[in-house]
Amino acid sequence: MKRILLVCAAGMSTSLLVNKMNDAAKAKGIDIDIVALPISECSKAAEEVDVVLLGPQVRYQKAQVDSIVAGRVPVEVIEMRAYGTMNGSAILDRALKLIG
Amino acid sequence: MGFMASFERVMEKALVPVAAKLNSQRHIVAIRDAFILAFPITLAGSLIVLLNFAVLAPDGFIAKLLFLNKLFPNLADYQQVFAPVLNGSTSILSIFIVFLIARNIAIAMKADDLLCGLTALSTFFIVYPAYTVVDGANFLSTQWVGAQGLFVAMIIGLLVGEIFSRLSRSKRLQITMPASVPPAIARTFKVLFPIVIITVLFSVGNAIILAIYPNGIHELIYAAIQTPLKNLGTNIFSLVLLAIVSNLLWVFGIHGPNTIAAIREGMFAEAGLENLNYVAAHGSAWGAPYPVTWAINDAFANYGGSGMTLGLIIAIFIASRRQDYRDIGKLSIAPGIFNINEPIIFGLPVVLNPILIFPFILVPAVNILIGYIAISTKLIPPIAYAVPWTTPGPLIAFFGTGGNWMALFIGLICLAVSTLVYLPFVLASNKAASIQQSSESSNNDLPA
Repeated sequence: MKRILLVCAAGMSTSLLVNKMNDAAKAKGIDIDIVALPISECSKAAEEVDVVLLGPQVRYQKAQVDSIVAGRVPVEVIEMRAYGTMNGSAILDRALKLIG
Repeated sequence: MGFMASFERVMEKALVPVAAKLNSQRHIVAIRDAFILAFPITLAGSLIVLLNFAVLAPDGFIAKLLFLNKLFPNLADYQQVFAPVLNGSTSILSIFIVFLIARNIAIAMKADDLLCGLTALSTFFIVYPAYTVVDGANFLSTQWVGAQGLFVAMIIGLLVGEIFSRLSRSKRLQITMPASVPPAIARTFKVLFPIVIITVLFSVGNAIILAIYPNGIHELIYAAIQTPLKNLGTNIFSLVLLAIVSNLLWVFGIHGPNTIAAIREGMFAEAGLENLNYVAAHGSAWGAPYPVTWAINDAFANYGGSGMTLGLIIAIFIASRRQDYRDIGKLSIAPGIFNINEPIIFGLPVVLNPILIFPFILVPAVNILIGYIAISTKLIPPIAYAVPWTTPGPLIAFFGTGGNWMALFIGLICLAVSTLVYLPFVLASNKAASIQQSSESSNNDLPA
């Protein structure tokens, strides 16, 4: 099963997105595991996932996440409007594309 | 669009690196995350104190509401059961902080975080004021384990975190055990020398400070750093300025409250804890020693999240004719009630919106002033109880004052004011979005 990690400041707004992405995955019949964490607590989880997506409000911390992941899996900042509109389907598609 | 695009580029170039620095600098992050981790303990203590006075005091607001004092004549006696809760929470916050900061630094520097935190805790008590002996028994002052010791805790946490992590990386200081030795024992010997060096360093340093300044390091740092910083923080100008900076960062899509958290805690943490100790001792928020703390922001100027966007959502429902605005409003209302507003900030968006920038910064500043005036004219008591920031807006004012109905009313006024201020900007932004859209679509219609 593919695993997606979402990170933001407190893990609050990304947890909203997790629900939307799970709904989208269910509709598409995709089996996927999505977790949301605050950026300060993501280092352990980042070692066990297939892709890491950052909320746009913590985009300046991408370098930090990059150094944790060390090139093992893709890291990307979620596009602002997709994040704001909580477009779970589009973000899920993007994540799957990044996983490849 | 040309102006906004170049404005955006300039701000990206200027602000993002600064925010990135503040949010990745390991000392600042260690302090910030230490306070975030310790917060639930403070909060639990605060809630129990609040419930204790609301339910078990005869004049508490829940006790009065339910006529508990008539049903249970010796209601107040039960208060004693919960009175010691603060002894195990806010009153020992410095102990949590010194451990957590050192641990966070060690995590960032990939050292043994648990032993680093414990070493910092050990060091904190090495430099702690000596025992006093009364009637043959030893007594340790509790003065510096709570709010007043926070700066010593922060400094020691940072220093021990750094020194421990660096020393334990040095191969020459490691005693390497043969492979047959159990890992737990090998771990001990790996950090033994660093711990011994830190212990010696701080005990000698402490002796030198005591020789020059007999009152000790805690009083020295309290007088030289913590008190000036607290005085700088607990006035209305700093509060408004900090709120403006925090919201300004959000306007550029940067998480403002998180970015300024370390600075904010340094300025307001002690005052907030002193207020909490006051209400625990007096059973009322009236007369709390620090009327101006960051709590005013949460209680009156943060409904819906940064920028008081609950007012913006209501204004959209009232006035917006654009369907996309109303859709975002609907999506944002549920998280907005709990003060989470990323959907509206990025979805509408507020970020880099040339019109909504103004009310987003103006509204919280105005609401802080309304709350401040209500407190300073003694219309309501200070916000002295710690309330979780995810509590629905006006209820923070209500619970933060220990159940003052007037505070709830002022909170509702603040919500009305924010809605009124946002209204004209929503209309203008509607119009601007429509013009932009029609010009974009007419551009698209041009033949290739």
